[in-house]
Amino acid sequence: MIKKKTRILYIFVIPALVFYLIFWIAPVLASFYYGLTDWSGVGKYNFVGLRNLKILWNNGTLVSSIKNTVIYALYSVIWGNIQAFVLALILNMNIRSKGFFRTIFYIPALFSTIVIGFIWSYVYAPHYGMLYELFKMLGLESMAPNLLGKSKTALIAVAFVERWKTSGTLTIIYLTGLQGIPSEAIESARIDGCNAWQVTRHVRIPMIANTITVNTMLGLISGLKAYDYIFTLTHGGPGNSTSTLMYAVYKLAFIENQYGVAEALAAIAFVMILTVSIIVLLIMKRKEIEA
Amino acid sequence: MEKTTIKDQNRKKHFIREIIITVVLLVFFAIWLSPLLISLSASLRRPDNLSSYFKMFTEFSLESYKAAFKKMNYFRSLANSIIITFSSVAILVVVVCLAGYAIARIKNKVGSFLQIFFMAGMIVAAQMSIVPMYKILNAVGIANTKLAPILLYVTSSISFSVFLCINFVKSSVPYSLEEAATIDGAGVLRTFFTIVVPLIKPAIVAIIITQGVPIWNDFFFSMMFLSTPTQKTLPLVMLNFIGDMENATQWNQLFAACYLSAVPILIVYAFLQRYFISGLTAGAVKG
Repeated sequence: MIKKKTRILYIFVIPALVFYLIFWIAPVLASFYYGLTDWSGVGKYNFVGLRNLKILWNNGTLVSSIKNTVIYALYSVIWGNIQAFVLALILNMNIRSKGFFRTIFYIPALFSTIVIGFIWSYVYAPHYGMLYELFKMLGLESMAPNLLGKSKTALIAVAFVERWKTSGTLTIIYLTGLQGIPSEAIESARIDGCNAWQVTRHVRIPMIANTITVNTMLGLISGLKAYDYIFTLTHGGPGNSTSTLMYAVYKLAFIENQYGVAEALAAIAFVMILTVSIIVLLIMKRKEIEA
Repeated sequence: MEKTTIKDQNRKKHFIREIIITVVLLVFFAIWLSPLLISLSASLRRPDNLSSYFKMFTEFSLESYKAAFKKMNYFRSLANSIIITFSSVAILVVVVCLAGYAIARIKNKVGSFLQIFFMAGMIVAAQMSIVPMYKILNAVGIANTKLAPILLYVTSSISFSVFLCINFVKSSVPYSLEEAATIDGAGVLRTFFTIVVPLIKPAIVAIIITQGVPIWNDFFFSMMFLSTPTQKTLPLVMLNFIGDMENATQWNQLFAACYLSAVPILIVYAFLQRYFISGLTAGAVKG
C-alpha cells in the first residue's frame, strides 16, 4: 500500500523534474563544457582546457567582476535588511496609517526593471536629472554629482536602485514576522524590566530569526546574480566599474563573441555562489540556534 | 480620579507620538517615492512642455500617452504579455504543486535528495546558460515562438516555488488528514485534489505573486527569444525607447510609456492587494 503510494508520488515529481533537467540543469552542464573550449558562439571549436581561465585572469576580468559582485551583494543584503527591519519596527508601533504606508511602499516592486531603469536614468542624469535640479535649486549646481558617470560611485548607485525597488517587499515580510510575535512574550519582557532596545534584541530578533535567514539568503543569491539593473542603467561602465559576474558573462558571450571565455567565467560564478551560499546558510542556522 | 488623569496623560502622549511618527513616515515616503511622482507628473505633460519637472502637476494632457500608446503598439504588446504570463504561471502552479507535495511526502533518501537538488537550482542564473537553452529549444523547433520564454519562465521559477511548496506542505498539511482519507479508500490523486490542494491555497497564491510579478516584468528571456515585432511583450517594447533617453525632448513621452506599461499590474494590485501582501509573506515568514 505504502509502496504503491510512493510510486504514485514519484510520478507526481516527473513533470517538474523534466522541465528542470532539460531546461535548467542540462544547459548549465553544457555551458561548463563550452567553458573548456574556444567556441565563439557559431561554427567549430577546439578544446583548450583551462586556457580561458588564464585569459580571464590576465585581462583582469576575473578579479574585477568578482569584486564588483561581492560589493553589490554585500551592500544589497546588509543595508537592505537593516533598512527594512528598522522601517518594519516603526510601522509595527500601532500606527493607524500602517496599512496605507504598507500599500504604497510595495508599488516600486510592481514596475519592470526596464521602467525603473528609465526613471532612475532620469534621476541620475547629469545636467537635467532630478538630483541635478535639486542641487541647482539649492544653489549648489557645481557640486551636483554624476553618480553613474564616476567609477567610484556607479556600482553603489546601481545597487541603490535595486534596493529602492525591493525594500518595500522586504519591509512587508519583516512587518508580518513582527506581527506574528505573541504580545505576551513582549509584555513579559517589559515586566522583567527590558527597555525597547533589549526587547528588540532579545525577544523580537530571536523570534523572527528564521525570517532574517530567508531574507538574507534570497537577497544574497539574487545579489550575487545581479544583472538586470546593470543592463538597464550602466552597461557595465564606466570602464568595467559596474560589470558584475553575470553582466560580464553576458557581455563576453553576446557582445564580444567569446563564448568559451564567458562560460568559463559562468562556471567560476556558479562555484562561487554555491560556496558562499552554503557557508552563509550554515552560519545563519548556527546563529538562529544561539539566538 | 488620579488614575484617570494618568491614563489620559498616557493616551495624550501616545497620540502625540503617533502624530510625530506619521509625519516622519509621510516625509520619508514622499522623498522615497519622489522619482515615481515626478515621472508621473512629467508623463501628463504635452511632449513639447520642457519646463522644469519640479513644477509638478501643472499640466494634465494625454498627448504624450497617445504618442507612446501608438509607438508601443499597446494592445498587441499587452495581449502578448498576458498570454505569456498566464500560461507560464498556470503551468508552473500545476507542476510545482504536484512535485512539492510529493517531495514533502516521499520519506526516504530520494525525497531529501530531490529537495536539495531542486533548491540548488536557485544558484543558477539564466545568463550562465542561455546559449545551450537556445540550442535545445532550437532543436525542438520552438526557439522563436512564445513557447520558448514560457517554458523557460516555468523552469526558472521551479526551484524557489518547489522549495516554498515543500515547506508549506510540511508545516500546514496534517499527515493524519491524508491518512484518514486513505483509510476511507481515497487514492493518492483524490487525496491530493480534495485535501491537499485546498489546504495549500496560500502557497499557490504565494507562487502566483512571487513568480508572476517578475515573469510579467521580465525582459531577458523575451529579449533572447522573441525577435519578431508582433510577439513583443510590454517590457520588451520599452526597449524601443532607449534611444529617446539621449534626447531630453522625448522624456515626457518616455515616462508616459513607462506608466502605460505599468498600468495593468497597478490595477491588479489595487484590487487584489490583500493577496499580494499575504503571498509575499507566506514564503519567508512561515518557511
